[in-house]
Amino acid sequence: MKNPYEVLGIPENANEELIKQAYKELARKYNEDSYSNGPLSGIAQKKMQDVNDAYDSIIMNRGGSFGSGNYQSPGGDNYQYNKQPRSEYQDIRATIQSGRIDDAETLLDGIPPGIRSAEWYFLKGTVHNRRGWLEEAIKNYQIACNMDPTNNEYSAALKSINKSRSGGFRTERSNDSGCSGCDICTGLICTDCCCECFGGDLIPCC
Amino acid sequence: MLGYIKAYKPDLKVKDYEIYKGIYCSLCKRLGKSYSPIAQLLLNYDYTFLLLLKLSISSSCPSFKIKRCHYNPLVKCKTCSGKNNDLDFCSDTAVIMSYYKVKDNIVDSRIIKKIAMCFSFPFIALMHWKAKRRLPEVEKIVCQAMKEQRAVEMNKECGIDIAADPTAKALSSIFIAGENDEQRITILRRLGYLIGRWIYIIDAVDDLNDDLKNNNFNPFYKTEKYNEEFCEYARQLLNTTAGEAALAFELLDIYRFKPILENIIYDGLANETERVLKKDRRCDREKSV
Repeated sequence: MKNPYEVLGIPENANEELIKQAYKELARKYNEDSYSNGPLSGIAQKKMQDVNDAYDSIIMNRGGSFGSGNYQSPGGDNYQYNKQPRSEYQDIRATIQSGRIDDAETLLDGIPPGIRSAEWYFLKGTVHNRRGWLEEAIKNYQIACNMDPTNNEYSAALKSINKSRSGGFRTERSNDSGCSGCDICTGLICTDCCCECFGGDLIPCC
Repeated sequence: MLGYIKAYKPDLKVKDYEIYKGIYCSLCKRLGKSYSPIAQLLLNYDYTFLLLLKLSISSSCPSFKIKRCHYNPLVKCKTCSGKNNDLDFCSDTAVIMSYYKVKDNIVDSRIIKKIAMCFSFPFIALMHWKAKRRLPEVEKIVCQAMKEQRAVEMNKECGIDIAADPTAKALSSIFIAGENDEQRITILRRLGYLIGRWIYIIDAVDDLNDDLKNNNFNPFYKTEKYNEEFCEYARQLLNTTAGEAALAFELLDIYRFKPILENIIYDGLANETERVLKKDRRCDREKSV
């Protein structure tokens, strides 16, 4: 197994605060909701599992003084993907899950337009999303949501794909603020004052 | 590959900027060495990004040496030389893709540009002949993509997803070329697809005015001209694509150059979007500070 500190990207002597912070940051990054329905959901889940395991093992080693992992999604609501009690399109869902996108689309297109339900549009959107055809995906998710506004699965998919539409895809990164012109001047004046205290002079004119 | 994928320099640390420049110089030097000084003119920042990405996930780290630049002898730059497969891969890819771009431009552009393109064609065809034999897989990918693109453009109404598909698929195949880790291939396939899609869309937005004038194919031909509404739509399209690309990028295990790649994907793409949309004051959007 990998070193749990390496997985979290923190030094081994990190304090609890830092560990929690790193864990939360990674949990937000690999948050299942962002990757759901896309082709990378499996990998994101695996990464999340690694992070959880690493966090848990660090806690075990340290005596378990602070709470266990399993970070919940920030919204607090837990969508249960792929665990619909019954679904008319079970086989198509399985086809998509296994990555056979073209087969899934053929199956979907075989269903006559008259009896296409909200789930049909949702699955069609998922097929497009997997392929990278984002505009078609959004269109189909939108139809699914309009036909069945109460379904969490559809609205979550639409929300996730629309998240970055208005430009908010930049993650918050540690932002070390730069040094402006004012900072330089202030620094010079301070230095000058200090020098003058000791009898020298940095800026002769003042 | 038209030079839209750039780092956003103001946010780059000086040490990262030097590496970025070094990578660019290395690629330039390699093009000069493997092909000819003319090949160096083909270089743009997209290939730098490709090389950066390939190097960042490869197991061996290249070493940099300080050398003088032939074009500006006063400046010394860090370049990595010696045998490096990624470096060769990217320089050959640059030649192959440029060849097809020039070929495409000869058909598309107007008379003056056409003559210029025809003049440069023999040189680049010669280089392409060499590149083709060094890297047959990329040659096949790009050739196939050009064919598909022509077929797609037959139907004016095809919509942006289908119009962008050949370019996106080609980049996706180029990104995964030479990889053998299955998980990494899945991620790179998605990332490559979305980056290719982003390049296609931004190029279409950038060329819209010219294409309308010359009556060339453009997926946005229904828009008469640049207006506020179209800009907003283009911005949303690009942001969605870049956002999904960023998600894919986050999953990639990167050994080095992470700050530079993050800078390109998070800030570079957004900055380039604004630059293209605001060019010639085509769409001035008041930005609240």
